Amino acid sequence: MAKILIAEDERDIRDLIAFTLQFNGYEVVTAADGEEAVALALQQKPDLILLDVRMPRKTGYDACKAIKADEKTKDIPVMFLSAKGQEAEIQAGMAAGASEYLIKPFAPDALTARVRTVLAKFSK
Amino acid sequence: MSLEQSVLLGIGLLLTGLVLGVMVGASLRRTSRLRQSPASLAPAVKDQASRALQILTDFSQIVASPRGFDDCAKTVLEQVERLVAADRLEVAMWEAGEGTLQHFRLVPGLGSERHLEGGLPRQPSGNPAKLVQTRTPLFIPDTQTSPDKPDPAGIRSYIGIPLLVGEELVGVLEAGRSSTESYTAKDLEILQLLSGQVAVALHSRRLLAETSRMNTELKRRDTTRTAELRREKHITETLLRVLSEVSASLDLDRALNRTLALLNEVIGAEQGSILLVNAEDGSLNHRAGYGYMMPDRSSGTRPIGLKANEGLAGWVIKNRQAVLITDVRQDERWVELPVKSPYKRSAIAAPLTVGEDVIGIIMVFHHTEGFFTSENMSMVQAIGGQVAVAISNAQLYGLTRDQAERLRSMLRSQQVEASRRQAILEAVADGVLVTDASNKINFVNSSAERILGLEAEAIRGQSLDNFAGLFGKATLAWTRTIRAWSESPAKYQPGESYAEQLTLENEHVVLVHLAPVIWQGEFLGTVSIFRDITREVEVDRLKSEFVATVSHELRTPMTSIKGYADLLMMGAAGALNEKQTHFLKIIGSNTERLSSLVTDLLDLSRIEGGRVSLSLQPLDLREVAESAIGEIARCSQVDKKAMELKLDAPADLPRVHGDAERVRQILGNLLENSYRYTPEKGCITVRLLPLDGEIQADVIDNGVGVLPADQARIFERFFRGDNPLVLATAGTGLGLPIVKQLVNMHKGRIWMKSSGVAGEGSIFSFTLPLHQEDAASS
Repeated sequence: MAKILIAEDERDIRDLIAFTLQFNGYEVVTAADGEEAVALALQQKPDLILLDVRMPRKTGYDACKAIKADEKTKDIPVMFLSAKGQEAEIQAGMAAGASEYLIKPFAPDALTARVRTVLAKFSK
Repeated sequence: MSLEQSVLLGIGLLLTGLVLGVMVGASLRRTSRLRQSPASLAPAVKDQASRALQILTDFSQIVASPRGFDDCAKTVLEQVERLVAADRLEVAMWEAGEGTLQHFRLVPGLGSERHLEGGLPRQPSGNPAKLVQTRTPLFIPDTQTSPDKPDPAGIRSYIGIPLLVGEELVGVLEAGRSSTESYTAKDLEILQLLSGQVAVALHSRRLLAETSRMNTELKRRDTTRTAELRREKHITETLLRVLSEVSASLDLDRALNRTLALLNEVIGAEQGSILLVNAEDGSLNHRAGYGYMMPDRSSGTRPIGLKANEGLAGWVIKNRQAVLITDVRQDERWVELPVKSPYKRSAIAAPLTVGEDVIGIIMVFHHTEGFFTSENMSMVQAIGGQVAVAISNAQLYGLTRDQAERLRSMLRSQQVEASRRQAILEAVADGVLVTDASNKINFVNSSAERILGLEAEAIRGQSLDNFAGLFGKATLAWTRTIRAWSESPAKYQPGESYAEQLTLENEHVVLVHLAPVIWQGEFLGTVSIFRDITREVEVDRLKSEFVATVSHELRTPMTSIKGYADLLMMGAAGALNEKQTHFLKIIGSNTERLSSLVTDLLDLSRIEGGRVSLSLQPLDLREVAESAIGEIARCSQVDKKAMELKLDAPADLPRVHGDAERVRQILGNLLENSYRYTPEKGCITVRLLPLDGEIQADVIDNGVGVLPADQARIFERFFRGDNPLVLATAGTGLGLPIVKQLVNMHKGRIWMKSSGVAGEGSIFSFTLPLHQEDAASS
């Protein structure tokens, strides 16, 4: 089963996402900020990374750039989860190397469906 | 006989030699030598000679005394009569210039005294004519034996002597006797002897009389001439006074009234008027008056009720000729005005002529007939000339003065306007910068100084070419625009202007509005308005940040609420009973509502902040409509709310010019409203109508409709009206404001119609412009 790294500073949401994905049978690793996310990405080699945009120590954008800059992690797909649903922000996320962008609030079903799509696309 | 004759001749010679007559004769008598000379003559003639001398002396003495000619002539005739008997004795004076003789004789008077009677001078005839012609004595002892007829008839004997002074004939002396006793040689001698004295005496008196007469005549002439001169002087003086009055005073009324007063004084008129022709309506206007009863008639302009071609004045104006009228009542040209004047009988009227034009008339009156003379008329004419010039001058002066006054007030108001404008420009908070035709800055207000961070002295008069250096590189596009307009003003399209947001080197954000000043194709300069929007930009940024933060902060807890509610619904925490499921659904739908409210708020704030840009492209509205209808159909299925959905659109619909995402948002929002406010089993139709240059989209439903009272505010933010049927359905009141903003951004129009009756629904319509390619081909 695929391993998914979740970086989210808001604990309730982190748990919600983790629970939802675990409920759907995924292996989950969680980080509470951007730096931890970058470290865990290198350490755990997940199949997908979900990044919140606004996080302490390192924003989702910066974390994404760091992951994409590292030869060992650059091929791991990144999906942003953000309340910042504006086009410019989505563009900024994509520019940082993300593959998907999911706007909060989201339905757990929608999250699971999107995760499944991305994983299918990058598993080849 | 011969001796006597020689003595007589001698004396005669002597006498004829005494040209100056009586006085010389008198001295001759007193001269002892002369008295002694006859004594030395032969004794035979001594008696006779002394007798003749005595006669002569006496005669000389007598005729020397009278002073005038008449007395002298009378004395001469009396003395001659004493020496020579005569029934008829006449002396006649010869007028050489005229060729006439004037006869004088003595006639009986009232008493014993006789007096001299003179005839009229006439051409001589008969014996006198002979005397004049021959200048020799004529002796006819008896006319009956002589071929020479005496004159007049009845004279038997006749002696005629020419009276000579030197060689000059001065007259003739004639004596005649009607009795049978005829004249003798002795009578002839005596008369001849006396003739010299008579000639000198009468001639000298005649000369004296002539001189005196001439003197008197000269005196008379002199008096006449002096009077003439005085009158001429008076006229000249009057004219001079009039001239100086009218030219010194530019107050025309005063000048004209003074002129009339002077004129009337000089010629004795009682009333006078100056009437002017009104060039506009051809009426005659009273301009000045003198001698009228009513004081208000003395000055000012007012119509007199006559046209310039009527009456006596009309005649004078038409004929350009002055007239002297003895009695106006006898003159058929005279028109009596309603107010009759008994004071007008004699009149003089003269035209007032300036160049070719008769501008009016001057008239004077007197209450008696025939009062004025032609001399008066000349005077009136002369003064009329002066008055005409004065009026013309005054009119010119008035015109010039009015013009000057108008110019002055225009200038003043312009100055007032200019300073007011300057004050306004200085007072406005926006910076104003004006450049002239040569692209030099000629005005900068204090706001512009502050905004641009430059001293007015530093930029005023500077050329545009220095702008980049002054304001930084951001101003390049602005200065380029100014230069382009100044170089080819013809290319400027009316209404075109330039607006740009500049970030200056001092980090101020400035909004520049630039417009050229082009008048009749000539480039006069530009006006730039600067607005420092640094603060607005900052506020806007803060607002966006705030909205973004708020929406983020709202979304985070909403994510948890929704997520955990969904997990519960999924049965992730165990099986749920029916009540639990129902409650979780309520939580879910309200979270959804809260979420869309946040989305709408964010959207509207971005649209209103101008931070949404459209990516316009050709768009098939039919496709958009189909997709939006499909969306509602899915909702209908999910909600299990049955709804009839229809699309009414022609197959070959031209494409519109729009942003696909935003047009979908517009149509989707309107359809969603219809869906929400139309009860189950209602009908919603989307109708697309191609019009001229645009497509109209109508969203028609048969729902609750919009109350007429609410329709005006339907597109306002958060407005939902008071209709309980509407309020029964959840809504934010932000959908329609967003739709309206988006339609406006597309340069379309949006409106709605509704009867407000539930079940009749509403029609929301909007238009979108056609895409240019499709518009051109359709």
